[in-house]
Amino acid sequence: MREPAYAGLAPLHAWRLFILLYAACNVVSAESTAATLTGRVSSAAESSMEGVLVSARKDGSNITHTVVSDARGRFDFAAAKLDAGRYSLQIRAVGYDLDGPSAVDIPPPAPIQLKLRQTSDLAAQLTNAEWFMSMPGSAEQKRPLIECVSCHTFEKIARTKHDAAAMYEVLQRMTTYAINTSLVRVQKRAIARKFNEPAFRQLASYLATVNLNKGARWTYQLKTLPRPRGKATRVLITEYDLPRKTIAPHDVLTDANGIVWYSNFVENTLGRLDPRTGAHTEFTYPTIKAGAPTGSLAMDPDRDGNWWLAAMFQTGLVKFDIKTEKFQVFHLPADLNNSEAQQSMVMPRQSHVDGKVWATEIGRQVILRLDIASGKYELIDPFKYMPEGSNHSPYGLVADDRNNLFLMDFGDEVIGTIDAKTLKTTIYPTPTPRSRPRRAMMDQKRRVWFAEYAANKVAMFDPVKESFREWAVQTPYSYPYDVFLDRNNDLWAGSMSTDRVLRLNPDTGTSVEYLLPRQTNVRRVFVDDSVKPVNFWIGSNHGASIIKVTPLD
Amino acid sequence: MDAIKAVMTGLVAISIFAIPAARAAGEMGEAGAKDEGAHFFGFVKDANGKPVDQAKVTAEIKNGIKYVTHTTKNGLYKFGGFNKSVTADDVTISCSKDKFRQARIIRKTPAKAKAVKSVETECRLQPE
Repeated sequence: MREPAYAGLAPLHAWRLFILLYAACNVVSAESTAATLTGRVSSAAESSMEGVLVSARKDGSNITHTVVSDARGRFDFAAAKLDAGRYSLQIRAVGYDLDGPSAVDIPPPAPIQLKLRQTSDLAAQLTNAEWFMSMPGSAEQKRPLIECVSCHTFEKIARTKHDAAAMYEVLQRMTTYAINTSLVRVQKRAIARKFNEPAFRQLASYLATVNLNKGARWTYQLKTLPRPRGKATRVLITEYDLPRKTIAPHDVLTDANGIVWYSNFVENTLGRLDPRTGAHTEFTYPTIKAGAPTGSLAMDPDRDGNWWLAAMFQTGLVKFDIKTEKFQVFHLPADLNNSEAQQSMVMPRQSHVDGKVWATEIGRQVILRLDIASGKYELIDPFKYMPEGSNHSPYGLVADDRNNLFLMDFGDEVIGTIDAKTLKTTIYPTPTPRSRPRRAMMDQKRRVWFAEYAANKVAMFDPVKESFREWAVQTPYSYPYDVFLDRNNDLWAGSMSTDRVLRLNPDTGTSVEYLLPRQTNVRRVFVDDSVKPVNFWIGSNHGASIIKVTPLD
Repeated sequence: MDAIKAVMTGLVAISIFAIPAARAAGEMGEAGAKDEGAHFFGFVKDANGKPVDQAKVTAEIKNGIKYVTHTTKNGLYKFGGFNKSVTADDVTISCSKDKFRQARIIRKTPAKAKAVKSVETECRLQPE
């Protein structure tokens, strides 16, 4: 018969075991009695308000916790496990502001009653998508505006008083800025982007009809999206503010230990965040190209957990050795490194197969392949036979287990594959024209999931069947940037326009969208599905924060 | 150029300066007259002449890139235009579908017609 584990312990050992058990019980007890915050939300117009985001932030902390009120207007922070202390409160419910209370001591003596009042400035609360919904004009007239939201919200444009001529001047000025520009860190390009003058004049004329050029108020009704309901209210959102407003987290991923790492779109740093404590560390890599805009876009690990960064206008690829915490720069050769050279994407995940890392060269709209050992780059042009003057731009990259590449053509409507051995390319048009495939991921079944940015769809490409499936995103003008299929077969996506996170079941086509607590321009999306429930991670590219979305169903 | 091994997918190494500079990515990139070469369209049909839905159609450019698309319910396929370096004779069209094999391909537009840019083909499938 097998003995119990504690049998035969010497008395001293048994005493130690008692201490350990006592301590463990105390920990459990402390967790189970953790202070919490509950309450109800109401307004003069609605006695029970569903779908109001309630945010609590402890004084002195960089972490904000958000829950959503249910159908009876109740909210409960139990899942956030708040410490006792003084917390400031905020809400998000379009059309409303918080009347009070705006702060609370936790634990409070009783559930709190949050009162909302109608806002006096609805325009300040609109998402980009709500502006696009509100404005008169055709889909084609609005389509170019998806470029604007890379750097700022549409509200900034809507509040201008420019006439068409002045607006044209502004649009021209925009071509002088690097794409990795934010309102708090404006970066100039070495050479302005080329543009289509008639298209610019047409757009300027249109914008002059939807801004405040003709008067103090907009001539159209401001429309809003509905507040979250049902499943969309069962979520906990944790937001970690970063220490500087200039940090623009772009790609946010967790490592095997649950530590969050991110690329900074506008500065030469790699960030690390411990979500358990909120502790933040930055690693700075040197200037690669003096005078060029700083910052990196894509970030992915190799098999050993080293982070690789695509250095954008700084050019080249940057590797961060996870053990030594040192950077290594793989410089672009001089004859490729002109004033427009730009590495936006990198794909090192399968580099252990053949010692090669894939990347993009946006100055020429081609693919690069780095040989790590020699530091030399190969150049592959998947769009070699496309008509001159047509738009093509390699964007999201994924690699299969033989390091064959799958590339998204963000300029147009195709995805491509490049065979790692022969470098032969195959091109597949997406079912939806002008879809502009953006970022992508590969699942365990080697299927490629990707966002069709301009089509407002998410999609899957099956390399075996050479076929696509597409799913429309429920909210118009979402413009999904990226997708991630988690272990539960839920497909997640973010938006640069709606402040919402999509969770879609590809089998049923049903979806839920979680509203975020504040304006959030979402780029790369990532799900840590090593935990239960899964954690969905994103960066607020314009808001200098890292956000975790935890579904509670 | 020694630092770069310029590998074009057609297995022909050429200078990077041969790459078109007019490519753009955005909605309002530089206007460019699309300098198109040949483009292809046509139908995939079965042995009885009925259109085949969701057949895979491949356009392979000589020593180069493959383009893959699928037919519509009417059996129609089309490939957008290639650039002017691609002539009609540089492209091979083929079709396939599960449990079928390609029986023949009929080019309805005359071969060697230099001025021809729009090329129609009919691809016939028969059960395996």
